[in-house]
Amino acid sequence: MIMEEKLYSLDQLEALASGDKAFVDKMVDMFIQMAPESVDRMVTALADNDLEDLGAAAHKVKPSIDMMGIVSLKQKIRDLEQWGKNRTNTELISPLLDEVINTLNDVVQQLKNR
Amino acid sequence: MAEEFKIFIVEDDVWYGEVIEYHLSLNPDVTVKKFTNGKDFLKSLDEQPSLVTLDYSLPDISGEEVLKRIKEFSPEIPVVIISGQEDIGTAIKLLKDGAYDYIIKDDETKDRIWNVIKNIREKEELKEEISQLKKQIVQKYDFSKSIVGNSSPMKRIFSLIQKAIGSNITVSITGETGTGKEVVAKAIHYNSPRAKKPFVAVNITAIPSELIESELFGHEKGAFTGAIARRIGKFEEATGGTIFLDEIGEMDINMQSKLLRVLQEKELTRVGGSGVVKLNSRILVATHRDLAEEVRKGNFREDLYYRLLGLPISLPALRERGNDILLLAKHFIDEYCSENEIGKLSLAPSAQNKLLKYPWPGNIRELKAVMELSCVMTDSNLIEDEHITFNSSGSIDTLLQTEMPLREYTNRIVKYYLDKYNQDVVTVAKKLNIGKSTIYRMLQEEAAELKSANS
Repeated sequence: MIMEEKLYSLDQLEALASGDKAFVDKMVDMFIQMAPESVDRMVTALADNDLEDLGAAAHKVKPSIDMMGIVSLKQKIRDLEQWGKNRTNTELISPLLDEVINTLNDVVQQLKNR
Repeated sequence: MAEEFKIFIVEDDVWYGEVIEYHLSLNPDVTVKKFTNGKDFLKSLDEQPSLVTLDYSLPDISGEEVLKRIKEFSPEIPVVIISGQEDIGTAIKLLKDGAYDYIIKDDETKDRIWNVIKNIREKEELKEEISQLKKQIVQKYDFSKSIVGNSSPMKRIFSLIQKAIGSNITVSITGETGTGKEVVAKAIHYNSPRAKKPFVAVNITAIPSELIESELFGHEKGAFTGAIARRIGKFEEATGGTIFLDEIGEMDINMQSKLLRVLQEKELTRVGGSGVVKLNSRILVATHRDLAEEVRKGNFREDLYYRLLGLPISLPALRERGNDILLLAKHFIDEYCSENEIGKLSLAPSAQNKLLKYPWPGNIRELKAVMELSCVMTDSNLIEDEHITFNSSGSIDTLLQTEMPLREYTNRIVKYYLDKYNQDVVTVAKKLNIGKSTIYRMLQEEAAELKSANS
């Protein structure tokens, strides 16, 4: 059996909660609910070629990605934010967004199964 | 108990807002209220938050605009901008616009917010402390309490102080050393509409003549050797308040011309500078000299004299204030007992008599020192004449300053010798070449007078 790589870390959240498990669970549940909403906003923005809104959506989800310890997305979400905001590297945005979406979906799945 | 510290979090990222709210709520002294848009937050501004953490990118109103509205509502409310991105230009602009701090959303954000809260609370406590101290100063110089006296010369002084408080006129205070000139100056300032602005006292004799101009008017960097930075002078320091020029009679004649010019023009120029600074301070002056006499002698400029004379208040010497001596003595005893947390002390009739007979060349300042020493010397709750020690030079001139009947002079001389020779009447009679019975009679008469005065 292949062990699935854990894509997140709750260390920061747990350190903040100082043993308050209910708070950690609440924040995880909120993330599970909000991550797909952020994904939808970014996808729609890209479809509408509204790169500024795509950058804004990436900007908004960035602190929770950091806090949830999703290390693999740390730089990627920042690139999406900057490229969208500045309309640079536009040809790279779509593949990068795909990567971000895939990872976020996997994280949500892992969190549901934790 | 610490006062409630109310934090408003304005954050449209619900997840992140939750994290900040949870973290800040861990402190029981803090209450937290969360808003997800600018409009709702602005509607609640009248709840007077102690701190606002403001997300720079709100969906409805820009962070810049929200900051502007907060500052319009109350410039005192500290606002910490919390931004998802490091943008130095924006940060500098927001700080210039009045933001207290600019914090990036990262794993150190929560600690930085706590530091901000700690700093704000310390600042608030210091402000409160300063405000309390200012109130205490005003109370201290409530002249009905700070200036003790019931004699007719003092009733006239109270009336003049009242007039000085009610106007902005220059006041010249004269009186012998130790009569309380600075106390009167402070009483005028702290009871006047300028009370909340500085009271700056300058003792002219305490400043070397070559430095007095820069001390009073300030100097620019490089104005003279050692002027390593620009420094404002005492007149500028007293802006809106009062400058008290003590011992004005000692001012060098050249400096008098410069002071006159400043008073005439109502503006000054810092040493080494060219720009003018408008004068906005009330002037009180004091001297132990007779300034009119100094004008006659050519030591003081006549034009400056008339400009500074304003409302003259001439403080009486303590020896001219009769029973005020005892009122003041009791005041100083009470003050000493209170400061040293000891029980009340009282003055024996013999001590009262001794105080009333002394000419007090050092005036109130000397009386205060004598009374404090007497409080230390007594071993009971009663201060007797033996606990009262006079330290002034006691020259014959000083003794003669107090006009009194010859009999009184005789009594003082005899008492002086009795003190000197340990109350040995025989020795004193020999030294003064008088009969022992003269001394005994004198002491009996004095005891009888004291008894009738206290009955």
